[in-house]
Amino acid sequence: MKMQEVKEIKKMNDNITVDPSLDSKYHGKELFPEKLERAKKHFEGRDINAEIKEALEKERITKP
Amino acid sequence: MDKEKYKVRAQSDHLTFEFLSEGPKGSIPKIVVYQHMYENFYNLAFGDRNSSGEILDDLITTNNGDTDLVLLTVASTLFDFFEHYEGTIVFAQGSTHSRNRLYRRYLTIFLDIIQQNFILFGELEGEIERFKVGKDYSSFYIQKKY
Repeated sequence: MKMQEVKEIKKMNDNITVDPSLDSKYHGKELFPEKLERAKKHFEGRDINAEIKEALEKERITKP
Repeated sequence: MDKEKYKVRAQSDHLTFEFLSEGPKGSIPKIVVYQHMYENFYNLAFGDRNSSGEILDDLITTNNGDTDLVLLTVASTLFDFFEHYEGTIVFAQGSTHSRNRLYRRYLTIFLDIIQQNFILFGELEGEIERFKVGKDYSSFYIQKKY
């Protein structure tokens, strides 16, 4: 089962290769800063880990 | 999800990915970035790079006739990301309501495959729950199943 899962993951990202030239290309560059800012705002004052845990717990309780 | 995908180049840290969208409007460079927010959370951001190298966000509509392929390719980066960043949660939110609707449509189409590998959550009016088909979620959280 575990082996099968690993194989599946390989298949899904077999189109991806590491290109070290991108390291220097993007070194020190902040991409999409406004998106990061927006996402951080969304998380402000919240404990998302706890909310996710709660969602899973709720599901476990309500499952027949 | 085992359909054709674009070839992707990744930065060594597997946080930034580049590929070319090919269509009637030519080759358009696309960039996918996983931005660390805090603790185990990363924000998924993607958009285009124009001819002068400027990064544009997903507010622009490329209309290159390959939305399926582009979103499948973005999904493939998610598999790659999780292979290198275990125990993390990816947050995704479209720039607009219609963009979120598009993401939701694709998440629904591939839900079976997604759920084999990931736990997907949707957020609606500040409440997070396990992703359910047909709900108008404003943002998404993706966690790898281990």
